[in-house]
Amino acid sequence: MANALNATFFAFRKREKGGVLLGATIAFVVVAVLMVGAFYALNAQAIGDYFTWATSLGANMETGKPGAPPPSMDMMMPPQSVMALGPMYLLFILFYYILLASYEAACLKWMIRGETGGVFGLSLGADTWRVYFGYWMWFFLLIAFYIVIAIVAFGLAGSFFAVAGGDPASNAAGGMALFIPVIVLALVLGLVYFAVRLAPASATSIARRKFAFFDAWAVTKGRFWALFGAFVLLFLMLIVLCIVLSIGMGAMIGINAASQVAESGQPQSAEGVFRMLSSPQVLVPIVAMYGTMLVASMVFYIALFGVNARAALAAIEDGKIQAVA
Amino acid sequence: MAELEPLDATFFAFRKRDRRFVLTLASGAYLGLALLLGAVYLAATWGAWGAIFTWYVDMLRAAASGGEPSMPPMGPLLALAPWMLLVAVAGYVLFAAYEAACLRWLLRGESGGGVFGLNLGADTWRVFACYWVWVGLFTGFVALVAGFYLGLRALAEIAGPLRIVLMLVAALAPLGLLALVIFAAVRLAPGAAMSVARGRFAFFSAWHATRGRFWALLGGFFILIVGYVVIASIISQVFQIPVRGELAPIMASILADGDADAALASLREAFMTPMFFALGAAYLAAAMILASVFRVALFGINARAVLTAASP
Repeated sequence: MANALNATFFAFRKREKGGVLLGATIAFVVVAVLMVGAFYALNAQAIGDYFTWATSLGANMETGKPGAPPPSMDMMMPPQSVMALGPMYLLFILFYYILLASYEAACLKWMIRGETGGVFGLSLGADTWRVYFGYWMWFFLLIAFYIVIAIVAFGLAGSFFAVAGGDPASNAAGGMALFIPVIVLALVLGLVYFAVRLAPASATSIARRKFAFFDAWAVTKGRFWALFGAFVLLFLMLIVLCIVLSIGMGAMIGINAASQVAESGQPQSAEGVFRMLSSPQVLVPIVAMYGTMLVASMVFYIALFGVNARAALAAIEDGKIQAVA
Repeated sequence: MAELEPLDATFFAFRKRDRRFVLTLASGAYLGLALLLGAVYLAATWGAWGAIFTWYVDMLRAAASGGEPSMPPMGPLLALAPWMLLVAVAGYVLFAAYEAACLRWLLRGESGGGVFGLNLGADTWRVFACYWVWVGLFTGFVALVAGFYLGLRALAEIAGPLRIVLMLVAALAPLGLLALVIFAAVRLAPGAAMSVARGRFAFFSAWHATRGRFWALLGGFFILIVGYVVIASIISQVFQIPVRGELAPIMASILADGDADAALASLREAFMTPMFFALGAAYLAAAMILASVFRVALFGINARAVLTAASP
């Protein structure tokens, strides 16, 4: 019989060295913030142009009388600097995912093989590229899923014309309408099943020291419900925390805003509202909440990596996959 | 059931072998001959292309000025047809020679003969025959789909209350048909490799060779296709950066004043430069090299499937 998985909090088990995951997480956050800062610094002009263009376009739409000719194509087209933002954003996303892959690889290397190295674990070694290519695999699997949805929709339309003769009032078409939610549910359940079965793909690649995306299927054989339960538990914890934080922040902002209104009266303009919302009494709870959410999401990420790492380790123990030393 | 040997086929073509550059030379020879074939085709049809290009430019001008677009020149277009057919057949024979050369090396360790392995020997014609079987299978599949829906339509007339079941079958049928195509394509993918390995036309023996290997092969093909698409997209995006930079002001001027002649002149001025010719050549070279690596990897997967089926 297979070992019990107990994967939900596997990432937080005591190990021989402390602070490895924390160091990698801090390094990831710092590099991510630097990347975002660099993106804004390099494209400040284009971002400013974008807001100017969007504001002028919005103002033009608002003032346009009904039946008046639409704004010219020249005005509809964003400025050249904004058009150039597209490739720059793609480049930023490309680098961001490489950073994320490096972070995931660092965490998985530590949890699966007990290895550290690089800048607080972050490196551009083979493991990072294995994880990164895994992201592309997910992207294309998602596209494949969309293709399946399109084919089912095409099949539904085809059956409506081929069998019901295109008559929406026919009994067959009416009965078919009942099947549509069942088909949609089946597609969603299929997506969840595949996502859980392939979830430890990166962890499997790290354990096997080679790109082994589809070996995750063997890793999760007989473990679907244990993994599904762990993921649901983690998602629920994150959602509940976000709800609690949002309610708390809403209440604090509301109380502080109300006390400001009581002191100095209703704000009379948009600038007044902005001034009120950027006062320390309101800004501090917002920053505190987003800070807490960032910490919570990083803990959530690590917990997810931990679930996958545990699945890969359990598969090694069960002899489902061979670890490479 | 006995445990199958792991396939590990995705990068089988790139494993270290006793001689190097056999596949590289075969790929280079194929690319060179394919370019030569393209040049011969262009030279033979040069006159027709001139007329077609003139018509295309006139049509663009007419569209920009709101005029009536002219009819395409039928004579030059019809003159292209026999050449297209001839070049397509010659192109597939050339590709069959290339695939046969790569498979001979991957399966039997044989290299050389002809132009860096590319020749018109029996293996080439076996591989070429496999392409025709694929064409036949595809035609059969199209007929199957048409027959299926016609039968369903006929059944719907007499099915009465069972029409709802027929509708459900018709709705899910495209998914089932797609699954059937993928299953059959993967199971028969090593048809050419099987024929080269056995030294006789053995396309359908691939079905036995891939028994129990479907998922491993599908995974291998999927990984290769994703890798190819990702790398090709990145290369294309990188090469497009300077093109977009030149194109953006021209597009803006077209949108602003809609002068097609001025836009064509600007495009000519911007792109008919040595720098852009060099860029285009570099992009073409990168795309062709990447496509060659992808094709060789595909041949490798098929070769590996045949070799594992042959091993005890």
